[in-house]
Amino acid sequence: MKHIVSAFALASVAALVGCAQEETKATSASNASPQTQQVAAIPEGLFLEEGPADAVTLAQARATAKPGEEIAFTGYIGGRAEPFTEGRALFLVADSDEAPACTDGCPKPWDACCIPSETVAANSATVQVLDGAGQALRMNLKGENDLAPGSRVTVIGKVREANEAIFVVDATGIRVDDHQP
Amino acid sequence: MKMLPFDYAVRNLGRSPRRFLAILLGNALVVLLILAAAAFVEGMRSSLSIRNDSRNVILLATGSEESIERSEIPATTPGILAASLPGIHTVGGVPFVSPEVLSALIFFEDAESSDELRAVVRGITPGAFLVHDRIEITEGRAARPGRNEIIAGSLAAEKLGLSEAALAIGESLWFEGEPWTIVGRFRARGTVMDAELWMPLTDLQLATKRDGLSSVVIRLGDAEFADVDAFTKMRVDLELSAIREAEYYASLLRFYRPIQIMIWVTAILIALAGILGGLNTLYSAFSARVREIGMLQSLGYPRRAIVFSLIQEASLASAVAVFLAILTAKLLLDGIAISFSMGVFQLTLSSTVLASGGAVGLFLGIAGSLPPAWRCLRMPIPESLKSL
Repeated sequence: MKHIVSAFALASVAALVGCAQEETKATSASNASPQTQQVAAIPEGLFLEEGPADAVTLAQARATAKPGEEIAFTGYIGGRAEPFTEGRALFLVADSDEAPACTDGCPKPWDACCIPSETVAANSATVQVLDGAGQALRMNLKGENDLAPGSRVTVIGKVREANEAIFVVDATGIRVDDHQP
Repeated sequence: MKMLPFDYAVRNLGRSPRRFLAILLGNALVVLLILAAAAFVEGMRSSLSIRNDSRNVILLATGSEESIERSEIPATTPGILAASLPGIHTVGGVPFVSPEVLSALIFFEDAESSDELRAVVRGITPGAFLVHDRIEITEGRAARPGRNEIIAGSLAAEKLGLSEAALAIGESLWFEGEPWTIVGRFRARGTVMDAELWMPLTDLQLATKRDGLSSVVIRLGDAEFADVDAFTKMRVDLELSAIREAEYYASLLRFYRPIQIMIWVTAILIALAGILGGLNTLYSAFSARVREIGMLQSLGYPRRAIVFSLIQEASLASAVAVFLAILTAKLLLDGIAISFSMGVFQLTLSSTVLASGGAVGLFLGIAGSLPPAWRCLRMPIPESLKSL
């Protein structure tokens, strides 16, 4: 009897240990970091104390601006549930009048979920802060100088692309006007 | 300290076979319940898990991040992506890009049948076999466009409520009055795709009168996830959202967490009832041996040695019960397919599940024997010797 019971116990332990080793290997493989983040510094003078007096709304800017033009426009950070790109100095701005934030019980008012998505897309701008090589800086802008989803901002910069579908601005100055959209 | 020999505990197990059997079955049932609950949770978890190191990114419609089936994106997206986003993984110049349509469709077993068979169907291109590396065709071949051909996952029969024979190669399923021939079987072990039917993308688009796509899955090469996310924010006109494949399935798993909690609570409640039953059996088993325990004390064995021997005895019974429970679970539960809205998952007896069963068994042996042992030992020795 003793031998039988001992054999049962040993077999159970051996099975458990054997399986546990396989699991450990799989787990250590799955913990590999998917990507590495590179951190850059915010260009000096990016965040402004005062916005320009001649800033127009984003919708007005989109209607007239051409690639290469220097512009200043206002809007709010939003148009998506997550308007910032993690790891890149890039975010979306939506027009406060044409694609306003939805405040009626919306958990994320800045995603403009109550506005048709085509309208939001047509009244949005992609704002990026570039490094010396002309690429978006490898850093998070969210949280810098109180930049947050829903913040009302004035952006100064050069239009990189402007057509019916997209509007991309390389920002040289950003002012946070308000923390509410 | 003078200890009782191990043989003593082993021999005691055989002294009352009926009582030993009651303890054995009670403990085995509790462990089996725990194994079943853990296997359910583990099976669901593994079917909705993608390795964390997966470099796959899903692009779907903004606002449909929680359900690929609801997503609708332009059919031009894969081309624009491949042209605009450098750093997509390529092999031999072929980019790992998979445009897909995911639909819940109703099939029929034959032309006359009125029994609706609800299937999850994925419209694919050859790119699907590049990005979904867990897919392997186990029989037949991939479906060719324009021929009403489909391939079926290894758990598709379970999802459809059909026999395996009904999905054998050469058999047909009917959709919109037309037969779709099964030309291959595939396996996507540990994923919800195992319960799907796959057909060529264009065939599914034609059959469902749909122009757009549900999603595009890409495999990153040099590019990082941030590059894909930045692309979706540059091309706001495409109304795309990027989400890591692992993150998407993790969010689905979070959605099903209440069900998992409910399963655990139910199993623990039933197990508690089993533990109380086991305690009762041990109380009566040890109470019947009060005189024997008193005799051991009078022979000079300290209380600790007697308690240790009683724990040995109960633990041995539990070890056998754990073994029985694992054997039963392996034979009756392992691999059983459970259908749920996302597809089908299999009860999985992983090492973690087995370990949790073993831990519960060990707990039953140790903790279950202590209260009755304490009750027997606190009695004064003369009284114990006089008891009947």
